[in-house]
Order: sequence, then structure tokens, then C-alpha cells
Amino acid sequence: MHKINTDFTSLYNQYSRLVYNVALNYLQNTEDAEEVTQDVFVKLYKALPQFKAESSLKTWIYRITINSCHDFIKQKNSKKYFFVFGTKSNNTVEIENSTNFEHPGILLENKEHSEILFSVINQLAENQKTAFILSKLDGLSNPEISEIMQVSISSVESLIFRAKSNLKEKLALKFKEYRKN
Amino acid sequence: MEQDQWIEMVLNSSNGIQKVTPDEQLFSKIMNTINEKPEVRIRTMWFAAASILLFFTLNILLINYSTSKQERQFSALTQELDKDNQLYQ
Repeated sequence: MHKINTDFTSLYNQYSRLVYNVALNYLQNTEDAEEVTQDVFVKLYKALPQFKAESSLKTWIYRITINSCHDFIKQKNSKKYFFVFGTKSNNTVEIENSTNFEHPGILLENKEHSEILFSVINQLAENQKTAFILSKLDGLSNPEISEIMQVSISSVESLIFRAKSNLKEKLALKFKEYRKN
Repeated sequence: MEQDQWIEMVLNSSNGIQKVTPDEQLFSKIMNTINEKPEVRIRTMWFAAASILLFFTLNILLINYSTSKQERQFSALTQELDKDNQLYQ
């Protein structure tokens, strides 16, 4: 028990920033990111004794974090759908109240533009969003992303390409609004 | 042209993004959650046990009730038949 706790503490020290930042980029809300980080480490604590080194620990943690973020978004959307009788967005990953998200790690001079970027990232399909976040915000290489997402490297390239094309299309629409203001 | 430049600026606005450190209290919150978990399990276990017990008790009561009702109906029927089959009345 003591050894598990010691291992767990060092695991937390090593990976808490990684988990928190992925969750923050995904959910665009500091409280939600903390909740998911908490959930991920509780899962890791339980699953750690059964961990088989078939993939690297880092890849495994990335997968758990991304899956937890997806679950969190689905749960949040289903709660919203349950209580509010209205039309639901076709995109299941769209999050409300995140359009004005100011990422605390963004450089001050980029704050305004990054708010727009995060709002359009949320409109991407789930796998495009994952690939884009891991590549652009987390700075992972395509082989690393392919291992995390369990798809081929060419699929990752295609996902990132499509994500960028879609973002450009959506930003073109935003530009018109931007010009009006 | 202006639009393309603006789009590129927005897309590149995440360049130089810094990693953020979570709240210092988060680790203790996680440890509290981990330590709380077994209590929830025990409570759930007791709830499940009580539900099973209630289920079996209700079943036994229902079976007892239906068998005694059948017995009563059967004895009433035999009494009736006994009366009807009296040849020397």
C-alpha cells in the first residue's frame, strides 16, 4: 500500500501538468479541467496495478485523459439536453459557455485571437479536434498522436489537414463578423 | 488577402503556449476521493444486500399467501362436492 502511494505521488508529480493541460485545452474551463484531472488520477490509482507495459505509460495516460474529456462533455451535454427542452447541436463535442475562454497559458498579445481560435476548435468533429489539440497545442509528433489515437500516421495527417481546412472555413465566416465590428 | 492574414494570425495565436500548473490543493482532493471510495462501496453493498433480502421476503410472503389461498379454495370445493354427493339425503 505504501509503495503504491509513493508510486502514485511520483506519478502525479510527473503527469499532473500533462493531464491538466490536455483537459484544459479540450474543455476550455479551469474547473472542468480540474474535475477531469481528479477523475483521471482516481482511475489511474485503481488501474495502475493492472497496467501492462504494452504501450508507454505516457500514451496510456493521454488515452485515459482524452476518453475522460469525451465522457465529461457527453455527460454535460446530456444533462443540458435533459433539463432544457430545445434543439441540440449536431456536434456532440460542442461546449457552451466556452466562447470567451481565455487560456491562462496563452501569450498576452495573442489573447484576443486565441479566444476566437478556441471557439472554432469546439466546432470540429471529435477526432479532428483531438488530433489538432495534440498536434498544435500539445506539440506532439504525428507518430505519437497515431499511437495515442490508435490510428495510422497517414490518418493523423489527414485528420490534422481536415481540421485546419475546417478551421479556415469557419474562421472565414468569423472574419466577416470581425470586420463588421 | 487581409482575410488570409487574419486567419493565419488566429491559427498561430496558440504559438508559444505555456503549460499551466493545476491548483496545489488538487492532489489532496484526489487522495480524499480515493480514500472515500471504499465507504461508498460498503454503503452500496449494504443497499444491495437489503434489496435482495426484501426481494426474497416479498417472494416468500407471496408464495405463502397464494398457496394458503389455493388450499382454502380447494377445501371449500371439496366440502361443496361432499354435500352434493350425498346419495341418501
